[in-house]
Amino acid sequence: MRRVIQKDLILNRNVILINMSVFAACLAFFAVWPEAFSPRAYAGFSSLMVSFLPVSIVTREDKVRAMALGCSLPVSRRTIVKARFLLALILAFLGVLGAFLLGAFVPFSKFEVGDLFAPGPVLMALAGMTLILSLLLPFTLRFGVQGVMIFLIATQVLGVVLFTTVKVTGSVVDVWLVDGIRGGIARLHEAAGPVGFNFLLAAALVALLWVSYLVSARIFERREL
Amino acid sequence: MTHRRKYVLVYLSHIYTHNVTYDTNTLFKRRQSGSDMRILISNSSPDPIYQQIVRQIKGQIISGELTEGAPLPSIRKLAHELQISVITTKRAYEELDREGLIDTVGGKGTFVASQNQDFLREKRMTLIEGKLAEALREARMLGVGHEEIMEMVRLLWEEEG
Amino acid sequence: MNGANAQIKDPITGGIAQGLGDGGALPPAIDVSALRKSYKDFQLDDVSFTLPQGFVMGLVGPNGAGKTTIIKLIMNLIRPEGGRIDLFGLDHRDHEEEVKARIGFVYDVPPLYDDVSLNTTKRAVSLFYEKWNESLFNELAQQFQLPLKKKLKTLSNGMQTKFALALALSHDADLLILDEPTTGLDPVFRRELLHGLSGLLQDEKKSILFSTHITTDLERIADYVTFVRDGRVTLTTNREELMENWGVVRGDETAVARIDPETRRGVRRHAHGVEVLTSDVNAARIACGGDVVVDPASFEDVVVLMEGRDAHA
Repeated sequence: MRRVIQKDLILNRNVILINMSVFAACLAFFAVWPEAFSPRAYAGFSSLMVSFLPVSIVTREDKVRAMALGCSLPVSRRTIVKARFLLALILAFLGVLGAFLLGAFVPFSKFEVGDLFAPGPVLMALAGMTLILSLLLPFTLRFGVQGVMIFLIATQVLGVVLFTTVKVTGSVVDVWLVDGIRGGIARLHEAAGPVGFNFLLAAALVALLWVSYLVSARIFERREL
Repeated sequence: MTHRRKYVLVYLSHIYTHNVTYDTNTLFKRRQSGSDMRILISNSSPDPIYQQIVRQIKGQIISGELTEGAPLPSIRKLAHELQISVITTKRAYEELDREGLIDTVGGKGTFVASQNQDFLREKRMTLIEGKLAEALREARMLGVGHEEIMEMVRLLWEEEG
Repeated sequence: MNGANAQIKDPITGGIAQGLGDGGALPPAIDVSALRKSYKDFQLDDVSFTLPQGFVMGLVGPNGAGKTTIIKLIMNLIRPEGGRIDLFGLDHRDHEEEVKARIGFVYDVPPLYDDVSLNTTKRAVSLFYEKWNESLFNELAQQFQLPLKKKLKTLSNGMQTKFALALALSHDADLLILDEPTTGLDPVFRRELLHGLSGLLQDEKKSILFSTHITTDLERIADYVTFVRDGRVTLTTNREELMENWGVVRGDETAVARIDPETRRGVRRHAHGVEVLTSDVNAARIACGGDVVVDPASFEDVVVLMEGRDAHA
C-alpha cells in the first residue's frame, strides 16, 4: 500500500504542487477580503476545494489511460483502493490544516487563530472533506473523469428537481424536507448535548467513509480496463 | 556464422552482463575451450531445421572433427546462437541421443558419446567410398582410363606414406 | 465440431516436456482453459492453451482476433465470464500479487503517464519489484537510446515501446507478456529484440508470451504457437509438430481432392489452382502423388488459410 501511495506521489508531484499553490493564493484572498466568508464558511469552502485534489489524481490517471499500469503491477485492486482512500484523506487533511494555518496567519487576515481552530469550523471542515471524498471517490474510481462529471451533473439535476418540487408543491415539501431535517438535527443536538452531537456527527462521517470505501473496492475490482 | 556468433556475444554482453541470471563468462569460456562445432542452418532447405542440426553434428562426429567426450553447447545456448527455437534444438539432441551419438550427463551438460569403433570405421569407409566414387565420375568424364587412375592412386599413396 | 482445437498430441512433445533432464516438473507458466468473454460486438469463446515454463509462445492472429483481450484476461485487467487462468500453477486472481511480481508486461498501447519524464515513471514502477535491477535498466536504456529526461509524449511509438520493454526486462521477470511489441519498431531493432528474448531463455524458468500479427517475427524462435481468429483458438501446438505434420498442398482441383477431408484445414482457390492446408502432410503427399507441390506450413499459411471452427464443422 505504501508503494501505491509513493507511486501516486511521484507521478503526481507537479499536479499536487501546482494545485497547492493555486489553493493557497485563493484561500489567502478569501482570508483577507473582509466581505467574504465567516470562519465556518471559510472552513467549509477550503475543505471542499482541497478535497478535489485527491479526486483529480484519480481522474488524471484515467485521462492518460494509465489505470492499466497500476492494475498490472504486483498489487491487488483492493490495495489500490485502500491506498487511494488513505492518500486522499492525508492530502485533504493536510490541505485543510494548511488552509486553517494560512487563514489564521496570513498577513492582514481577518481571522483570529481562535476563530478557525474552534470546534465549529474544524468539524465543518472535516465534514466537508469526508462528504466530498466519500461521495466522489467511488464514482471517480469506477468511471474516471466521466464519474466526476456524472456526479456533478447528478447533483445539479437533483438540486433542480428539489427546487422545482418545492416551487410546485408550495411549502408542503419545503416544510417537510427542510424543517424536518432542521428539526431533526436540533432535536438530536438537544438530546445528545453539544459534545455528544459532535461525537455522533464524527461517527456518522467515519461510517460514511467506510461504506464509501467498501463500495469503491467492490466496484473497482469489477472495473474493466 | 562467425559473424553471427560475434554478434550474439556482443549483444549478450551488452544486455545481460549486469543480470546475475545470465553469465556471459561461461559463454566465452565455452567458446574458447569447448567444442569447435559448426552448424549452418538454411531456411530454404527442404529438410526441417532439427534434421539439419542432426545431420551436421553427426557428420562432424563421423569425420572426427568432434571427438569422444567433446562438450556440446546446451540446448538453450545452441538455440540462442542459431536464433532458432529451444524445442527444435531439443528435438535434435534427442534424436542424437537416441542414436547413441551424444550423452547428456545431468547437471554437467551434453558430450559426444564414446563411439563404437567398428561403427565409426564403417561410417568413415562409406565416406571414403563416396569421395572415390566422385573422383571416378570426374575421371570418366575426362576419359581417364582404369590403368591411369590406378597409377595415380598408387603414386598418391606412396607420396602420403 | 470435430475439435479443430488441436491438442498437442505428438509423442515428440511428451518426450520434449521431460526430455533430457530439463525441468519437466515445473508447472506451466500459463495455463488457460475454456476462457469466455463477450462484448457487444465481439466474443471470446472457449480459449485454451498451455505455455510450459522455459519456452516462447506466439499468440498469432489478424488484428481484432482477440489477442489483446486474452492478454487483458491473463493480466486480470478484465474479468472472464467463464474458464480459468493459472500462472505458474497458481490461480491468477487468488495469487494476483505473487504472480504479477513475476511478470513483465508490454502492452499494445503503453498505459503510462505521458506528461511525466521516463525517469519519473521508472522510479514509480521500480518501487513495486523486489528484484528491480537498476543497473540493468540503465544498460537497456543506453542500448535503446532512451531519452530518460524527456516526457513520454515526446517519444515516437517505437520509442515508447522500447521504454515499456526496458521496464518489463528490468525486474528479472519469469514470464514476459508482450502484446504486439514489434509494431512500430524497425527491422533492425526487431531482430535485436528477438535476439535478446531468446537470450533470456538461457534460464530455463523464463517464459515468453508474444502476441503479434506479423508472423515472420516469431517464425524461428517460437517453441509453441497459438493461432486465434474471431475470438477462438484455431490451433495451438508446438512448432515441431506444426513443421512435421502440417503443410500446404498446391495443385489442381482433382489432385487435391484426394486429400483426406478430415485433415483438410483450409482451402483457397485461385485462377491457377487450389491451395489446401492439411494437418497430415505426409498422408497428403502419398495420396496426391506427383501432381502437386507440397511445402511445410508457415505461420502465415496457417493464419491465412485456416478456417474457423464453424466453417469446418
